[in-house]
Amino acid sequence: MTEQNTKVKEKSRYDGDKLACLFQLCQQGDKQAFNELYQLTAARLNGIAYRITRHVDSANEVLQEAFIQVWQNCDSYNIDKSEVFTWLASIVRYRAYDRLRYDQRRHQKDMVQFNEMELTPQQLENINQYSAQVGLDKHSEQLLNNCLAKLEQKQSQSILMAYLYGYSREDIAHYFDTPINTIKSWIRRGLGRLQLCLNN
Amino acid sequence: MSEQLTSHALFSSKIPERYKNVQIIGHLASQYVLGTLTRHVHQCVEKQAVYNEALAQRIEYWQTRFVPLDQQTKELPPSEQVWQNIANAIEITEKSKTVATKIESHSSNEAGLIHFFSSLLKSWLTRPAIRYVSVFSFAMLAVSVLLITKPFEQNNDPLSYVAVLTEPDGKAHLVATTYGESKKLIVNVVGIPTIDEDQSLELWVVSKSDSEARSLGVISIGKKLIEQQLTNAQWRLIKDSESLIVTIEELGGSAIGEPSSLIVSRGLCVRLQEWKNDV
Repeated sequence: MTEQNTKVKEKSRYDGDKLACLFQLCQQGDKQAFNELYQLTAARLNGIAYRITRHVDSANEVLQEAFIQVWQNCDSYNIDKSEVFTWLASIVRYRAYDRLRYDQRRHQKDMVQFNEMELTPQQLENINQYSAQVGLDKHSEQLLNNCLAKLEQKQSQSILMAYLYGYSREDIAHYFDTPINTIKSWIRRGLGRLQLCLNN
Repeated sequence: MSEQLTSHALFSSKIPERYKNVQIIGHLASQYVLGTLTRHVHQCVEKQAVYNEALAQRIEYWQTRFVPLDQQTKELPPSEQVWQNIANAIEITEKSKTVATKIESHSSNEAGLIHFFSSLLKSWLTRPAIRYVSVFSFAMLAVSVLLITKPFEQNNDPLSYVAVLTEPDGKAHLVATTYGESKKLIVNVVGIPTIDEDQSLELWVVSKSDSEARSLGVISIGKKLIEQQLTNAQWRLIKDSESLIVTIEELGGSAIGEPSSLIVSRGLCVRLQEWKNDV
């Protein structure tokens, strides 16, 4: 392992520990710690919300609701079970998926042309980038990227469209002009192969 | 993290049979993390994961495996207003806890009256002859006495709207009243249904104009009397209200700003001026 990789890993571990310490203080009702936790993670989490909702205001609202939920439910989080960032990112993602579908329904109700099926060039580039085999080290990022790259392209694309951009199976079926059962099959098989690869 | 789905990890009386199947657990957990489940199924899985360790482990497995995609996501600094709103919401939560506690300890007379009316209503409704006595009439009676016995500090604040929220069989859950001058909502909790730890009860106002339901907030469990300062927007909703409903939502309230189909109580909003005119 290179010196740079060691530093990166140490920094990552330090950040994880710092977030965990801050979170423990939050669980004791420390609002200053909560503010610090927010300052450290908000930009990244807002980026995740924006990635899914594709709307700056919606992303901000998702982030706001997520952090209020975090504060209200911080007692329910078990620090031994998962990394703080993983937990925070999951809360933001699930809220963002909900928000995206709520916005879609609202737009459909208003009879506004809302072409959600089109992937933007940036989204396509991201998906291809994630799907491509890059790097040689065994960081978890690279491991996931490498394993995704080993899947059939439509499998990895379907998985990434769902995870990264909140596409429903119906949306993906529409995008590929393929029956929804085929999409379900691609995702199921893709995840199976991904799991095998990640475990190995 | 352990990836073994051992039989002892699956054992729990609260877990339905289908959630004990290893393949189903694997499928649900991965689809949950991908976000491809319907909202209803997503909520069911979330609820089950509280009891079902194997399911929780599989969810954690996939979340941990996929989180690098989130860590690689480009940062987007949020608006400064976001933290301000969060800080305000937290303050409000803390203050409302304090206020509710104070009200609870200092307005036992009013709470006692509500309890009296609740008992009276229950007793009426158990009698066949007057089972169909209008809940509306009961609300008016409750309002009359509440008006007379209202604490001094709110004597100059006119009671504007009242709604008695009941189950379909007429059992009263809440009495909600609003005061026009201070734009305050007072909710007297008479007897709300038991819910799971991972659920919340949320109060909604249904609009007369468009029949849409909009949230007035989550009902604090364990409080007998809840006081909430309404925003101007919420006050406009009250003025346009047809009825109030209470629904069971995920912990912390509906994530999408819409009520679930689990409506536990409902009550028509009665504008006091109209009632006075009727009388």
